Order: sequence, then C-alpha cells, then structure tokens
Amino acid sequence: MNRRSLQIGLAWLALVAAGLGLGVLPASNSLRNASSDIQRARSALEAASDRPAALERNEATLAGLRAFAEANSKLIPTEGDIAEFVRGLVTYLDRIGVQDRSIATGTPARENDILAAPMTLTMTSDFLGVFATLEHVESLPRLVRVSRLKLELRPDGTLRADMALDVLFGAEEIAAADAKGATP
Amino acid sequence: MSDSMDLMPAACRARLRSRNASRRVALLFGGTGAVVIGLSLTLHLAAAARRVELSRLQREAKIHADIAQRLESVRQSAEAELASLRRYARAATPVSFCDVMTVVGGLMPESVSLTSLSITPRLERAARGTARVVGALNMELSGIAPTDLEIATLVAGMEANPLFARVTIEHARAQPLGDREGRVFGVTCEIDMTSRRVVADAFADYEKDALKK
Repeated sequence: MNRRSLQIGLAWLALVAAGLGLGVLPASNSLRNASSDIQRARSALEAASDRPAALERNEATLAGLRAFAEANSKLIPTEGDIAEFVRGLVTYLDRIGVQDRSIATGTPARENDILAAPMTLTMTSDFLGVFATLEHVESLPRLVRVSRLKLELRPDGTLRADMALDVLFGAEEIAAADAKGATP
Repeated sequence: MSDSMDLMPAACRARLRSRNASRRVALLFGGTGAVVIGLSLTLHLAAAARRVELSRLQREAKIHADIAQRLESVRQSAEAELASLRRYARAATPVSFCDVMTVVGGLMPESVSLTSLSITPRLERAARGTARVVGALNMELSGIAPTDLEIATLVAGMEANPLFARVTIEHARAQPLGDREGRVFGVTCEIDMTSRRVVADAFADYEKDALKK
C-alpha cells in the first residue's frame, strides 16, 4: 500500500465518519427519540381513553344532581337575614288579616354545619289563616324548619297557634371556617 | 501469431492508469457520500414523519388534558352539590306540617272536630358522638265526636295511613255536648322521620355515580 492509497483510505474514513456523525447519527437519534415519545404519548392516551366517556357520565350525573337538588331541596343562605324574614312574615300576616300575633326570635345556635335561629310565632286566627301561614313558611324559597306546632280551639271558634320555627343559614361560612380549621 | 505488442508510450499508459485510479477514488467517495446522504435523508424523513405523528398525538393529549381538567371541575361541582344536599337532608324536616294537617283533615269523619293538635319533635342520636336529629314527630290530637264509632273511624284511618305509626287512643270519655251526649277523645301517634329522609335516600345513587373515578 503506497502513501497515496493510505491518504485516500483515511480520507474515505473521514468522509464516512463525517457522514455518520453529522447526518446519520443525529437523524437516527431524532428518530429514536420521536419513536419513544410517540410510544409514551400513545400509552398516556390509551390510559386516558375512558375520560371522554367519564366526563359525559359525570356531566349527566351533575345535571341530574342539580335537577334533583332544585326539585327536592331549598336554599340555606349564607346570611341569616332574620330581619328580612320577619318583615316578610309580618307583611304576609297583615295581608291575610292576622292581627293578633307575636313573634319572638332567639340567638342562633350551631347545628351540625349550619346555624339555626330559633323563632316563635304565636297567632290567633281561623283555621284557614293558620294553615295559610304554615303553608307560607313551608313554601319559602329558603329553608325554614317548623319544629313544633300547637293548635288550640278557643271558645270563640278561632284557633290559637304556637309555632316554633328554625331559620337556617350560614352553611358556607361554617364549612369554610371548618375547612380553615382543618388545614394545618 | 506473435504476442501482442504494447505500442502505447509508457507516459501515456501511466496517465491512463492514474485517470482510472482517480475515477475509482471519485466513484468510491461519490458512492459513499451518496449512501451516507441517502441514509441520512431517509432517517431524517422518517424522523420528520414521526414528529408529525407526535405532534398529532400531543394535540390529542392536550384535548385529553382539557377533558381531565373539565372532569375534575365537574367532580368538584358534584361533590359541592352533594355536600349541599347532605346538609339540607340533615337540616330539613322530611315531612311538611301542612301535609300532616291535610292528611288528618282528610281522615276525620264529618261529625268529628278537633279541639287541639300538637306536633313536637323527638330528637334521636343516630350513633354515639353524632349530633341529635329529629327521629320522629309526636302528634297529639284532642277532639270531640258524637260516638266512639267516629273516633274508631278516625283511628282506623290513621292506622291505615303510612304516614302515621303507633296510633293510640289515650282517652275517650263521655261528655255532654249542649243538649246531647258526646265523646271527648285524645289520640297520639308518631310520624317517623328517619325512613322519610327521601333526599338522603334518593341521592345515594347519584353519590355513587358522582364519586366514581
């Protein structure tokens, strides 16, 4: 082997090395990386393939829950608004002509995760007046619980009614306070 | 025949040899270059195709990530809704007092009239350490009836009605009512609340569904 052949051989090796180093190997690495990324993405997508169906199912459940809540439950407001409640009740009693009545309110007490403001309503009226008042209280958009009821027929034919009510409120505030207390 | 004679001058022959050698070297280098470029190009094209595929998959993954986020938000909303319903179920009285009065009114024979009615809650503790809830309503009725038959009709009606339980006649005694004899009576019964917490029962299925992962 003469010197010229050696030079050519070295040049050829340099050409092959340059070709592999600059062209083939980076392309091969890029291909390998892309393939493994594709593999990972496919696995992730496969694992998440039930998500659209789960979303659909959960959205249907949520819609059902909301419809159920709307039909079967009432608002428990954050604020008590007792004064507003009493004002509404008095206005209603005036409208149906119940003049002989007294309303007393007590201090709100915690009951599980809400507050219950006790209230007593004593009134004298005919049966329809008492029934209408009870119906009014029970059909309010907010939750007012009738906890006790006593009706007595008076000699003049009217009814004396004692109602114990609980005006419920403060659920979010208490839930937030509980959550804050639970956080370390 | 004599052996062929090389008439080409030596310098010319050497030049031809050198040209052939150059051609071979050029062919070797050109061929090697072409192979390397071809291979590299093929690999680059394949990688580009993979990247296009990867980018499509990444777009899909992004959509799935959005779905996952929405799913989490839906789950949180469902949890909040359930918490609100649970709170309501604990706080509300499952039986309307108006309904109770309407049912009692409907069961009373024409000739019977009530003189008093009281409904009071009976608090119960579901388990040790839990808050007390209204387990039942105790109802007491007093009234007057012409005979025991009407009282029995009222009591039978109450017993037959699923709203009432433990219907008991506390007393029924004779009492003059104006110019004729009548009966004054007292009846007590219970209205069970625990089994009527419909909200709690009805959303149990939703609860199972909503918490499904």
